[in-house]
Amino acid sequence: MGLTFVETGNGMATLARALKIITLLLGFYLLCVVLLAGLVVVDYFALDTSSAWHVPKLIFLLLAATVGVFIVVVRGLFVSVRVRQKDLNGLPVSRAEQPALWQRVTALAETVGTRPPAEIRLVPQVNAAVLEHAHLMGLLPGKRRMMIGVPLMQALTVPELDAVLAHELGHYSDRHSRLAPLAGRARASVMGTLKAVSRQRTGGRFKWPGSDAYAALFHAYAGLVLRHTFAISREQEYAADRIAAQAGGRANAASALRKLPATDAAYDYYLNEFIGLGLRNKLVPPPPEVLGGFGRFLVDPERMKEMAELGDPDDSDEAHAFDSHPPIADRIAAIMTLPDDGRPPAEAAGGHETRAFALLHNPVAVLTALGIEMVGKHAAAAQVADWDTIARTARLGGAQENSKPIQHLVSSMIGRPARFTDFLALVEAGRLSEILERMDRTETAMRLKVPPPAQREFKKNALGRMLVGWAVFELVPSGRATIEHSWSGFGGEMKFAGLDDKALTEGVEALLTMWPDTALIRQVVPA
Amino acid sequence: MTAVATGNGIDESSAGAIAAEQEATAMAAAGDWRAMSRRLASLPPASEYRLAMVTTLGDAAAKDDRWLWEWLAAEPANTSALAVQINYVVTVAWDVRTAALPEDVDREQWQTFFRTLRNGKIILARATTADAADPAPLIAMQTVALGLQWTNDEYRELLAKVHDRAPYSFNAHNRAMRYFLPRWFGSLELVERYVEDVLAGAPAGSVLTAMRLEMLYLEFRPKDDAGRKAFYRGERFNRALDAGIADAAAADPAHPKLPYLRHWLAHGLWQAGRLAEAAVQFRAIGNYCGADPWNWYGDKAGTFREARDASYAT
Repeated sequence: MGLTFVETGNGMATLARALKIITLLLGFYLLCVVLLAGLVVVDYFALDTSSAWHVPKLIFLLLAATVGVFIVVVRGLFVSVRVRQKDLNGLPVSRAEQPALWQRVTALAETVGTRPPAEIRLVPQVNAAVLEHAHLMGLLPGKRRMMIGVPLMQALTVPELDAVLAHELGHYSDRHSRLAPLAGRARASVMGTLKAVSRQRTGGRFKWPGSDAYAALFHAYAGLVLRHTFAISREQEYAADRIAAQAGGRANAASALRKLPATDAAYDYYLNEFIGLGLRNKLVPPPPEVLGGFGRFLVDPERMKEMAELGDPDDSDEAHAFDSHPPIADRIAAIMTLPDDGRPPAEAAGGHETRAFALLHNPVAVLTALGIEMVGKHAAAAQVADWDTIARTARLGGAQENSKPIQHLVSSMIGRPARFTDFLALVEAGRLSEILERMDRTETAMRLKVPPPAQREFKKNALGRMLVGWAVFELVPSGRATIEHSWSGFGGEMKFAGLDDKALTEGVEALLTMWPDTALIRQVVPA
Repeated sequence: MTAVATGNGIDESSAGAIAAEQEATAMAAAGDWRAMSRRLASLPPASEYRLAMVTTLGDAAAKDDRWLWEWLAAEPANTSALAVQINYVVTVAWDVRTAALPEDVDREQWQTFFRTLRNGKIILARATTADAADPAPLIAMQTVALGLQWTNDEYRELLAKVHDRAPYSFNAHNRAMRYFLPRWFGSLELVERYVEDVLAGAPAGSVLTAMRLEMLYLEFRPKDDAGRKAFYRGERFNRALDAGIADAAAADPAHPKLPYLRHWLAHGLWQAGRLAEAAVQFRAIGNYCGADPWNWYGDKAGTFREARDASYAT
């Protein structure tokens, strides 16, 4: 069963590795206990010696350091447990619910030479993983779960997804696999502790006393652990990549890797700009749209162009000594040194139907279940709305919010609530310089310490944005402009009744020149 | 005039005791736009004295522009005022952009930089309507064009108008030379051709030979020490120095751009090891180092002093 290019059955080497990691992990726990115990002993003697009470500052320092170390140790020891709980999200799908996907995974497991997972969960992340609940610190096999990110299925072709899933299963194709959770746990404990330490040093205004000293200690030990587990995890990645190339074809394994960073960035952007935009206005799209929107975002022609332009992962990305994965560019290069298998890259130019998402049976049910999970606790406070409503509400809300300062300023100048046309009248009366004079200096101008004329230009830039917002805020409710949802631009696309799309920005620019001209903007925003 | 003097009394902010610059600086400090208007109207439109004043006034207005707006309000069709305004737009835009590397200039700065520069076209249109024959607004526009990344064709059209009106303007040719550099919108071939064509037709004493020295310094100077040494001692560079010395000798001693040529000569002769000739230029320059190529050095006054001391020691 074993694939010839993977070292298998090298029991001695595995045992040696396991011992090394276990020693490192035990050493780490020991370090924590010794540090804590040492401090407690010092505290005891300090409090016991009556003379020490003359230096209350010292006492305070010692006690604070003890508490600080205690917090760090607790965080370090339990962080991995928490991570594991959090990892188990998503939607478990049975063989009957998703026959095509199960069949694919089972076939891949056979190709790779490992037993198939007992459970498949669909998750709303750009990620795929196999988790094994190993026993006895990773020495005994346990229940195997496969997590498959639906966003990944929306972005990748079927052979690309095959490569990704084969890569994950490949981690279990020899005895490395049961070491992986162990190595992972060691890394997670140490990283968690380091994070807790650095939060104490930089997190708030309060710097935990003495934290520099134990931070140095933890850093030194962390370096040791990470260096020793690092080689193992990188080796595993390269081996799993070779398996991925075997399963999906060399070209597809490479293109899947290439797409990962762009897909990850796109998904973050999508969640932030589209879902986030709605939530900030207490609106959510219908459940199947929460994740389904990403599928359509990905096949928007403008977005596809942008993602293609993101291009190859930067080879100058330096390999960080503490990274568990080698740089993607190196992994792609390694894959491309494999002999050509004659399998061409699968086309993904088309819409949904060419993506691995098409493997899902009853996709609406899947999207609905995951959409509900994603919105989760926000759902109670939010209202369901279509994308156009979300875009319009968000754009109008933003427009009102952004233009508040100028609306206030003009209102105070004319002594009543101002409309956009009142501002134009002031400009026509030659009072733009007075308006600029009354505006606050911008942050950039203050940072650069520029002279007043350059300060005024920065103010004009800020004023330009406010004026666009103010115009939108008046034009849309009156029906002179409409806002439609668009995957290409966030905040929706604006259309004016009988005018060019650029009329508003051009009209505002003409207002802000050194010889202000209101003619164009008067066409867009009539009195 | 605020002289930024170093310990040894070297003024780093100015290229020399240049009458046109000093007069303009004094007028701006007094905010006396009526005096500017009268004075600029009394000078021939293409005179180097007038063109130098217009540039200095634009720089001064970027620090405090109240007098400029009063002037423009009172004389909206005065092409001297409009030329000052274009120069002002350029300096304000560069204050916004700063001299930082492009990657260190943020979005807000870029947007404001380009929007500020786009005023140039509106102001030039007003100036052209008022008096199409005045070269000063067109020469000021050359820097706007560089910032707005005009194509070669657009730029050449502007340049042709400038050449018709002010064929030997130092600033016009210097700006065009920079535009045609490979680092901007030209190439080695284009910039060489431009410089040599202009110099072939320029009369002695135009001080335009400074442009050739600048081009050689920016584009033909090797990066390594040994290569640089050979370059500075080489035939091409020394021929350019000889032409520059002859140009300076033939120039009107009051030419406002003559000190700029002398800085290039002093620096070049020092690097070439022609120290006695360098000393002649340093004596003519006086205690000023606010000019290229000293501006390219981290410690410009220090380098200036080092070069001058070495030249005087012979």
